[in-house]
Amino acid sequence: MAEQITKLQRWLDLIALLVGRRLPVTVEEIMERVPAYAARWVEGDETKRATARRTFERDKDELRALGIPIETVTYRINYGAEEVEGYRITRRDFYLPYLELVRESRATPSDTGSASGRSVRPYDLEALELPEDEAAAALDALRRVADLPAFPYAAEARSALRKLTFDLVPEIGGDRPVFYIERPDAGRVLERLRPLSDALLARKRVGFRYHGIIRGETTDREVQPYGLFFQRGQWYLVAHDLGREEIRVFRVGRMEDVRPNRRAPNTPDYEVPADFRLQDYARRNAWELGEEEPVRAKVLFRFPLSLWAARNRHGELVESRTDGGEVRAFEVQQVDPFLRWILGFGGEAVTLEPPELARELERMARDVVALYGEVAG
Amino acid sequence: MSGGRAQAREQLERLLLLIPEIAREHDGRRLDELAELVGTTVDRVVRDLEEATARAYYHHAGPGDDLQILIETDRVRIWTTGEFRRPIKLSPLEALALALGFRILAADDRPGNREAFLARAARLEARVASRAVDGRAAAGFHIAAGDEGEDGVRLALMDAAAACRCCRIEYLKAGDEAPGERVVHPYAVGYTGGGWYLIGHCTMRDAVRLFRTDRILSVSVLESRFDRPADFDPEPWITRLGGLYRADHEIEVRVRYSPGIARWIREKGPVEEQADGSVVVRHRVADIEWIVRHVLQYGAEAEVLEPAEVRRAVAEAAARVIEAGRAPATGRGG
Repeated sequence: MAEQITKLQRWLDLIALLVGRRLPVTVEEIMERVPAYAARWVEGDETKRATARRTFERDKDELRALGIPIETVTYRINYGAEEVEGYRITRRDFYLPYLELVRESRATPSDTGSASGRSVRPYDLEALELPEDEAAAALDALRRVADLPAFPYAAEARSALRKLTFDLVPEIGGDRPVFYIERPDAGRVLERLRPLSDALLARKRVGFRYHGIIRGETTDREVQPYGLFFQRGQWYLVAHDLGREEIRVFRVGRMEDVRPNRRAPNTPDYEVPADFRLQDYARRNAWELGEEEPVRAKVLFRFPLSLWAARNRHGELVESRTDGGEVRAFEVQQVDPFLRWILGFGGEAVTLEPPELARELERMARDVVALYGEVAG
Repeated sequence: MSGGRAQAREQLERLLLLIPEIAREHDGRRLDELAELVGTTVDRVVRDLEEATARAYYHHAGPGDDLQILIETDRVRIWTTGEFRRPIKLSPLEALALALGFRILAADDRPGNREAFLARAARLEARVASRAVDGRAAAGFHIAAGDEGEDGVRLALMDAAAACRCCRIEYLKAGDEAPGERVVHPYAVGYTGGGWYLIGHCTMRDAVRLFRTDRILSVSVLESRFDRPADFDPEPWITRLGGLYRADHEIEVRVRYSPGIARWIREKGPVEEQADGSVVVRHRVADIEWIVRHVLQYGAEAEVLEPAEVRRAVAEAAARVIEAGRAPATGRGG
């Protein structure tokens, strides 16, 4: 019979046996009362009993990893003479607390924004009073990640949303009309991103083929993932590259054949260094990346571009001029992308310092003018 | 092995959500509604429920397992007085998703509010999650779906869009002499790889327009309200390549990108390959200012092939860069 009982059924049987029990259930009782284990256990054959026991141990670990709070309790029986180990799942740890919406205008819980009025309260659980803005923020937070292009845990965000809206009506706080546009390759990116993020969480090594854009070469990489970041519609992996022995940034969309190390899934392969900061790699501008000694550049933004630079906090304000122009300072690690950014403003932004940057910008502009020689006149 | 585990995990998570949803309704729930609720097919929902039902064949009825499931043609009913009548707490990955979502919202918030917001969020997470979100796990993700220069403008627009409140915006259109004021009805706020945009009805133009939020210098939310057209849909504004754009009048601009940068251009969308390794892209543009800036950012690695007026505009803009560099202290160049 054990073969016919599916893993899902075995898990449901185990959870149903343990949940809500005041007294812990001993291993023997579990072996006898969960039918899939009992089929092997009660026959008495030592090998089969050991198999049943191992299956239980594995199930317990997997369910705990899913967040099912199986508690191990050691207690004494026979007036304290004997120590026994047992298991239980308390309802308060297992079930979502009753979520009660508190309207700001009234200090009492309201049932108008709560769907829980429809259901009785079957168990003795704590009630969590939620101010309307907090409830709205929680639902909004989950919708935002669920909609984020190729977010690896979008399915989890949606299931969390469904759990919270068991009590809370989804319309709380108004549904913000915010949308993210997925790039056409988002599906392909997600296929790579989920194993990468699972490997990152479990600290497992990952191998993949990488199409490097700078050299235009495809190489095999073996890395220890340190972090994933999303920027300008793209996902990037920051990882310790074992072949090159340094931290590198990889664009997930340029990876193929992502292979996490599946050996010893519960044992981490590495630790992320304590001083690693993911934000340091997720800089907003191309010129802020790199190991070179930064150059401090001063740029004059003419009016009204100065308003835009201030609104978006580009650089640091050094001087406000009477004509509305503003001089802003930048720490530039890579000169070329910085100057190309300035060039794009077509003379509305002027590099003042250092002089070599101003000369280089002029050279770039001259190259462009030369390209259109016959039209520039 | 891991496939079986993943399948069982998904089934368990679905069932522990389906059972309370069905059990709380006396008349049960429609199967198609349930499939939509858990994001799967009706067949899948039926198979999950059948597996749970089949437990009755090997179980003696008794406490903790008095679950009766009746699957009809298009409905399912559940009677139980035992367990599974309430959703379970958030799993570690669900809680991680919530924590990362809160961080996105915090990044939208005004800088002074972020810490307090995240502290309240962490307290909520701890109450609804099966275990506290591992700080190391959350630190492994960074979502910059905004711009760090954001100072509440986008947040104000999102709130106004949700509440259908009119807004007065100060907008700096590229190439304009000064910012202009407009009153808009914010319909929706959308993100593309290139940044955030507002789609809204512009009362000055009496038409729906697209505004880049980085060019909205300030927002005042007005008392007056607007009605969002029932048929409003951002879909027609979304381009095939995942951008946001719509124009009544547009021109085609052909740009050649040098072999040195062709690889990056190929990643962005369709190109016409040239014999020398360069690529040509046909851009549909409504705004010449935009294409001039775009092409200039590649320096001499990008060249507008046609039309002639755009070639001229790029050359003139490059000439203004040279001129401005020579007389930086003077006012607006050109």
